[in-house]
Amino acid sequence: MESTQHLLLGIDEIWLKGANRPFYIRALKKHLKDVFSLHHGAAVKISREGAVFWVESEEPFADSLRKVLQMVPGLYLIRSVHKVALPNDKIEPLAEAIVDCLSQRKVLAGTTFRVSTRRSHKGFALSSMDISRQVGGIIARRFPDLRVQLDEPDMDVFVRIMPGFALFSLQADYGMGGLPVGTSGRVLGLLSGGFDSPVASYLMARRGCIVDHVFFHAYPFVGTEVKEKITELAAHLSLTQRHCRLWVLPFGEIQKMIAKDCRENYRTLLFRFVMVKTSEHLARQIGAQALVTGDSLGQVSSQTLENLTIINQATKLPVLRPLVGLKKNEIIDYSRKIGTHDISVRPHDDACSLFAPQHPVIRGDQCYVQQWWSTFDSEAALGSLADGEVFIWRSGQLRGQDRASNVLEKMKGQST
Amino acid sequence: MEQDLVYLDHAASTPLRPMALETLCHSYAFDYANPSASHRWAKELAKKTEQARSEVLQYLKATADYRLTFMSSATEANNTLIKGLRLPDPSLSIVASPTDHPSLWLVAKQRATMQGQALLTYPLDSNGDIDQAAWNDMDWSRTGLLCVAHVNNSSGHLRDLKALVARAKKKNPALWVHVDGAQSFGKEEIALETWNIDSITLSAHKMGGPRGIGALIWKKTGPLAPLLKGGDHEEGWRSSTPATSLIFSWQTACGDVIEKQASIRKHMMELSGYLHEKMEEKKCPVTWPFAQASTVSYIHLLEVAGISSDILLRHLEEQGVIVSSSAACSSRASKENLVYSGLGISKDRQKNLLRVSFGFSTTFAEVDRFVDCLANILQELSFLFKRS
Repeated sequence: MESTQHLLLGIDEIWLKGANRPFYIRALKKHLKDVFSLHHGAAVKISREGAVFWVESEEPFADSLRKVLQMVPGLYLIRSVHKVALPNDKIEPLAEAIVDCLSQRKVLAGTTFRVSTRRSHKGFALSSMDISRQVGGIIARRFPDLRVQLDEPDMDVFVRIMPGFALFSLQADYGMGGLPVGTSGRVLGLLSGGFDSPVASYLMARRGCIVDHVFFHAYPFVGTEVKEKITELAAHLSLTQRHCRLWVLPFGEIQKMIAKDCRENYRTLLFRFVMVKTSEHLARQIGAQALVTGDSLGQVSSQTLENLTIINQATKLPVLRPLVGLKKNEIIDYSRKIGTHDISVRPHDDACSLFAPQHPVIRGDQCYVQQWWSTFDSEAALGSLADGEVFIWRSGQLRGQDRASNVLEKMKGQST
Repeated sequence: MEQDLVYLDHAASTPLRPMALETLCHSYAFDYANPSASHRWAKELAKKTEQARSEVLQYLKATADYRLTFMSSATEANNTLIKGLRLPDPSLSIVASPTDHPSLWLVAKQRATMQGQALLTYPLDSNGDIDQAAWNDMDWSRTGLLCVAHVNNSSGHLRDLKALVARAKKKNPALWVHVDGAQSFGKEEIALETWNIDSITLSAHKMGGPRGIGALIWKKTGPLAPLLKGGDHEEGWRSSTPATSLIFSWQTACGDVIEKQASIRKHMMELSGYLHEKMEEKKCPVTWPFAQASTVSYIHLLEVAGISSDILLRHLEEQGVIVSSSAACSSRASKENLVYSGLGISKDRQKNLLRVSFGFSTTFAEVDRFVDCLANILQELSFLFKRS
């Protein structure tokens, strides 16, 4: 992204929303305001024109802002835009400025381009097509290596004529798209250190969900490295949120309790069962309406239809599984695109091999699981919530850490 | 960390002796002049440094043929000697062992690669002791440099340097013998001259001194190129303003510890016996890979089959007991540990090792707590152990 003082942000899926449009736009604008106030040093002016936000600032926008904007759900396009004064309605200054910009970039020989012009200032001397032709001609003469191509060119020189000035942009970056955060309700995502759960979480954020995360930390069976890994993943994903939390709940003792008291081949399945029960308990207290997991059908033993059904029975909340139909390499590709791959790839397991059954059950018996749960000390499991710790982020910046019991107390206090 | 910890990782680092701490604080507050300066105060500090130097040399029974150069650590000292020693003939080989501290082995490897010299390993038997027959058979006449740790920091093996050096030098009197004394100084008797050792490295924080100071003691006749050049401190052998306060603190620690050496050794042996007894008594399912070997009484390597030792480490630390484990994390992905492989412990056993090491302050009560905690943990978790 070039350093400019103007940005054009394309709003995604806005054509789908009829009377609800203002609701979505307000939500997106709130998120953008947070992002700019936390990640950009100066004041900004945000105005909307149809399906596009114009953002203007005294200080140029840093390149680092692009990565942050690409994690804002609802934005599908990000353009850095240059402003050029056009005295007397002459287009030469515009053409010069574009040529200047192009000379500073390394444009490969044979790159195709076109100029797309729109006039907001209808009184301008030349028509849009004339402007495109003339500017295009100047560029072609100055850069003989470039070719004009009107259909799907490599570079689309975007020009907008305004009263007294023009705006142009040479590069567009694609954003996350989807729906703005806060427009689809709140969910609780179960995070593990692998590739899957962060991608699942991202996909729900892209549909406009507020996503809190929960991680079950099996210390002392696993070390603290995996917790640091999870915290980094949650921090990265928090860029998609205005305000979100990671709940880290102790799970070592509970795993031991479960394993002592169940058939060996059911261990992994029952760990997940108890995690879902505990997550539901947490979800109810924070107002989350669904759980999110990274399950993909058939990837591991606990992901057969029978076992997923058993897990579903652990809760009345919907368990959303955005990855259920994806292949592993598709998920890994996704993780690269969304920036979680390099964190997920670190070798710190969230599961201790000590507990892993020799032959994990593939088609769990619902009766056994229900009967087992009825004799299990569920108080202990659900009680682990109080001993958890919570990390809190605001638009990608860590704001604090607290005991889960305190955070839940405060939430209760606020709702009464 | 809290004060009622049971700390059994002295081989990694030791608490600073109280008198040494006093010396350090006082010296930090008052001895700030640069001993290389020309004024009177500087010269006083320089004189006190010489006093410390000669005291350490005395503890090693080193004669005037030896020089002591202060350095930041035993690692720096090993690097200095191994990289900087000029051998009479570049075709001579270097002998070291991957079972020793990496500042011996990896540095020897680096030198061998860069200077085109052969690197050979000294032979160990199935107990991890040096194989005497194979040692005698080595081609010492074609060896220029031998690097060996007096006490192995991972396993506690004790090398009979006097006998080993004698036999090697019988075949080649010009062989340079370099010893890493980091784990043994302050606990074992060392006699440089009598044992015919050419150089030795020491580490203060392994024997009650402060971190950040160590030394290289070496025969003056050895042709050495210094590692650090610059202000020509330490008579040109190690440029860098000496860490005066750390030196004085170390001097105090040495004085404190070495005068008690005999009683400390006795205490360690009693602790060692007690540890084994208690483990037996509690029927702890642990084995001692080097029970038959010649090891010191203050470093113990034990093996617990069926569970990755980092899990035990974390359970122990939850109860305030600190030891050392071989596995960084129980994750499946892990490299083979050359030290353990060299000592005869196969890769599949390498994650099951705990190292327990005693210090000057270790008590029987601490050993009790360790064994009790370990026994309870093993009992609690025994149902999870994988038996192959």
